[in-house]
Parts: sequence; structure tokens; C-alpha cells
Amino acid sequence: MTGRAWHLPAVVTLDDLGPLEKTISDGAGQSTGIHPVTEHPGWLAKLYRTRGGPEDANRLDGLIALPGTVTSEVARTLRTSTSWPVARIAEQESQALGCVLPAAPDKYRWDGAGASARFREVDWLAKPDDAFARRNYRVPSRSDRLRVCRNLVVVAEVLERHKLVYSDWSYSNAFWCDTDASVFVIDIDGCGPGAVPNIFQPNWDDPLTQRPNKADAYTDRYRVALLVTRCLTGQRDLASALNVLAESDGLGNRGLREILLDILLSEQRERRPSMAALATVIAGGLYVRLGPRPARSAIPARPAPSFPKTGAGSATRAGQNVKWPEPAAEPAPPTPSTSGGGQGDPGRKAAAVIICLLALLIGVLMVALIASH
Amino acid sequence: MDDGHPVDHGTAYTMKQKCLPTYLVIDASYSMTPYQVTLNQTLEQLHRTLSESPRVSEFAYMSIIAFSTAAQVVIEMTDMEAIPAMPEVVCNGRTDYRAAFDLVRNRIDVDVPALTAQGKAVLRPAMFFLTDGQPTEPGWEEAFRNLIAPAWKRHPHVITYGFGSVQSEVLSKVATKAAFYAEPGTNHDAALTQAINSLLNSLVASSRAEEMQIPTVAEGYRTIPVEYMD
Repeated sequence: MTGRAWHLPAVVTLDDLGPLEKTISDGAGQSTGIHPVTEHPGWLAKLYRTRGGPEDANRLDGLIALPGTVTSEVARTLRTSTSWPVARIAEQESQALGCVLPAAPDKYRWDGAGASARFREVDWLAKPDDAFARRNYRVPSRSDRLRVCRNLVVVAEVLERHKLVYSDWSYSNAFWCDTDASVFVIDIDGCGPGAVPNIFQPNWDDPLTQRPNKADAYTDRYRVALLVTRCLTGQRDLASALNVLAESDGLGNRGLREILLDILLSEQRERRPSMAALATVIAGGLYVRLGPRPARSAIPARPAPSFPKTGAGSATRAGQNVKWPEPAAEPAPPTPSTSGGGQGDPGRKAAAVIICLLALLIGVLMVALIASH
Repeated sequence: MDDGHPVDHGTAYTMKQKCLPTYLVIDASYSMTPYQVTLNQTLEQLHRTLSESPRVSEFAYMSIIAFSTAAQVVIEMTDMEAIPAMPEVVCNGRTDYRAAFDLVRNRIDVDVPALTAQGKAVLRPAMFFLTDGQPTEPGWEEAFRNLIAPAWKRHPHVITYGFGSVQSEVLSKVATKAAFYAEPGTNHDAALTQAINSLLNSLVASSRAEEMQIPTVAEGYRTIPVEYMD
């Protein structure tokens, strides 16, 4: 959260914003750039690649106005867990050149702070524990994964409750904090009521929403469930994630396993359980199906495991061009000490103390004996 | 497993994750010795970038092959994120293009079926060839034709980067999609780094599009026409 309120109107011109800094994005998506607004720290100006017309302007205005019409709890979720737009950028009536968004707080960056540090995308949560360990990153616990997923579902449930479709659930559109498990969903300005363009994201296609059909709430349910499943299991491959999920205990909640499988495998998209149901279950509530369980597609077979291999060799001869580091030598086992001063030889130390005490006692007795004569 | 009865209507879950098998083939001959440190630093950077970009490394699996008098596999086809550290490439020996091309052909016939068995939808392989010198051994032209033969369904796309003493005429004969020749006067260390950056940019763009995106420019290089076209 920026900690600062937006003080300009809900519709602004580029002149109103003042100077813009260099883009923080690579311009590969639907925007040409996302620019920090120099005179309004903590706020970003996102400029669209394609100028939006009246329909886009109305849609954006609806999003911008929403926090003012909902409960304080919902408004807080939108403001703190998403890059919810606060203003439409336009030079004319009914135009959308872009929008103003809050910048993601630094707690979502790797290593905590610094504008140059990368954001911690949920991409990383969809990796197994050993991927973190290999890089000396803190390994997320089962509880961490569950809490982050729960917070993602909270956002998804709020959107669905207000009949907004996001469509862009994927690895790159949410950040997570590894200390408090909070999330920050970005590109939220693309949300719309009812149905929106089915944005192409590799490996996130809904099998029951064929292009060029638009994405709707049922598509979002699938993508959220897929994101949650990948993050909970740490498996990115779909078949692997489904198999791990099906064989799991649902992180101690069998209902969580079942509701995710119902969403992902249901043969009818309309039978996919709602985000409200998923939010209840992932928070520890019971999974209650209304009616018979939806018919499910078969879980694909688990793929063959792969084991990365490296070529062996040394560079001692011409044509041998690879040198691998020598494995660290095992520390030598401790050898018994044969002379005094061995560290950690308590028996010998005790014997020395006893001898000294005896010598002292003998000395005292001899002095006493001599003195008595 | 749950106690239901999963139904397979023949259109069951068949979505597979796409994978681009990528071969980085590096000239490690004696003439590369002055650039050995830069080469290894650049490979470290490549490894670091890929292993910290899960979306890219899961799409663009990579195998690294070094060649000089012989060719050897440095790293077999894998998600680079799974490799803890890069080995050191040591430059020595002659420049046997044929050994490199033959090894890549053999490896493709091993790697593509292995990736398919892992449940991946395998795209046509891509080979990025990096050299600073002329081939010193005979038979390289036939070996290259064998590698890219249209009749062999697994023939790779080949993108080539050349600097140093290699001639552009040779480069044009060992590429199918693009060939880049370092601009005159380009520092060879910089040429190495820029070639790998071009490769990385191509892989990042490819992972976004879920298909091979051929680099059209490489900083510090000029494009030369290729003799063989896919």
C-alpha cells in the first residue's frame, strides 16, 4: 500500500500528472510502459498500447468508483492486495489512454527493499522446496503456501462477488511477501463485468473455454484453482500438479483437495465451484457440494521424471574442454590423542586433577608430620 | 485418489506444456583462450538468469555443448534451474565443426524422445552456434547438411554468431534462420557477451509467445544472409 491517498481527480490528463519517469516494464504486454509519476511518489502511470474508446473508459470508471461503493473490508482488500486503478488518463471525453495505479510496496521485492530488486512473483511459489534451498532462499512451509493461496483466493472471491472477470491469473501477475504471506495482484485494470478478452498466457489455457470465446467467471475459477494447485504442490507441470494434489491430504483438509479437483476436472464449466466456496474451504471450512459431484475428466498420467545430468570430463587433454569443481573433501575423522593436551579427553583431565590433589594432600601431611616433631 | 469415477470422453485432459529444446554450441578451441574468462563469466550469467526465471527455464530447456578437437556435452538437456552451478569451460585444441554438428544430431535423437516421455509438447529444436574461427577439420559441410536435412523431421533451427577470424562466408553456410557477424572493431569479449544476451532475449521472447522467436538483431553484430533456409 502506498500510504498516500490519491488527491487528483478520477480522470486526469498527462499534463495533470506532470513528468513521468522511465518505464519499469519492458512493454511486452498490453501497455507501452508503466511509469513512476515523479510528482506523485508511489503512483504509476500505465499507458495502453491501444487507445481505449468509450467502452473501455466506462469500464475503467466503474473499477475506479468501486471501492467507494463497497464495505470497508472489501475496499481494504482492493486497495492493499491489488494494483486497483484510481484514475483514468485521457485527453478527451470517453477515452482511455491509460490509468493511474499504486506501486507495489517494497515488501514484495526479493531481499526486502531497493528499487532495483526484482518482485517476488508467485511464479516462484510454484516451485518445489529444493529450488529455494539451492539458492539459499528461505523455504516456504506448507503453512506459508496455504496462507498465500488463501490471500489470492480472497481477491478472486471479491472480484467474483462483484461480477468482475480478471482472466489474467498466471505466474507473473501476483507478488507475494514471504514474511506475512500477503499478496499483490497486478494488471487488475483489465478487469471487466461479465466477460473479457481471453488473454493468452502460456500453460494457463482453460480446456473448456476455447478461443476465440471470451473469458468469464468460470474461466477465472479454473485459472485461480490452477494457480492455487501449482503453488500448494510446487509443481508447474499440469499432470504432475494434478497427481500430487490427488494423492495429497489437501494440506490437512481433504475438502480443499476435492474442491480444487472439482474445479480443474469438471466436465462442465458451469459446475465448477465458486470462488466463495473455495475461499470458505481454503480458510478451513467444510466443502459442501450442492447436488451430485460434477463429472470429472481423468487425471492425465504423471510424466516420467527427469534427472539433469552434466557431462563429466577434465581439461587435461586437447579436446577436453570442461572442468568441474572438485567435490569438497570430507573432513578427516578425529584421531585418538597419544600425548597430553588432547582436546576433549575428559578422562585424562580428571586423572590429572586427582593426582594433583593427592600430591597436595601428601605435601600437607608431610609438613604436619615434620611440624609435630 | 478420490473415490469417484473419472470419465474419459476421449477429449480428456491432454494439454501439455510446450518445450523448446535449445542447444548452445560453443567454440572452445585454442583461439578462444584469450576470452576464456569472459566466456565463463557469460555462461554464469546465462545460468543465473535462466535459473531465476522459472517461466523461461521451464519453456526453453537447454543443453550446452563445447567443441574443439572433439565435441563434448557440458550439460545435458534440462531446465537450467535444476543445475546448481556451471562448470568451467577450458579452451584448447582445434576447431572441429563436424564433431559439433554430429554430436548435436545424436543428442537431438536422445533428447526429443526424452522430453516427449516427460509429457512435454516438444517444439523444433533450436541450435545457437558460437564461434571465433574457421573450421580446421574437413567434413563439416556434409555434417551440417546432415544436421539440417529436411527429411529428418527433428532437424533444428540454427542461429549462428561469429567473431574473430571466422569468415562470413563460412557463417552463412552454418545457419538456417539467422547469422550474425561481429562488427569490425568489436572487442571480442564484448562480442561474446552480446551474443549470449541476444540468445537470452530470444529465449525470453520465445517463452512469452510459446514458440521460437528468432532474433532479428544482435547488438554489435551485423546480419549476413544464410545459405540454407528452413
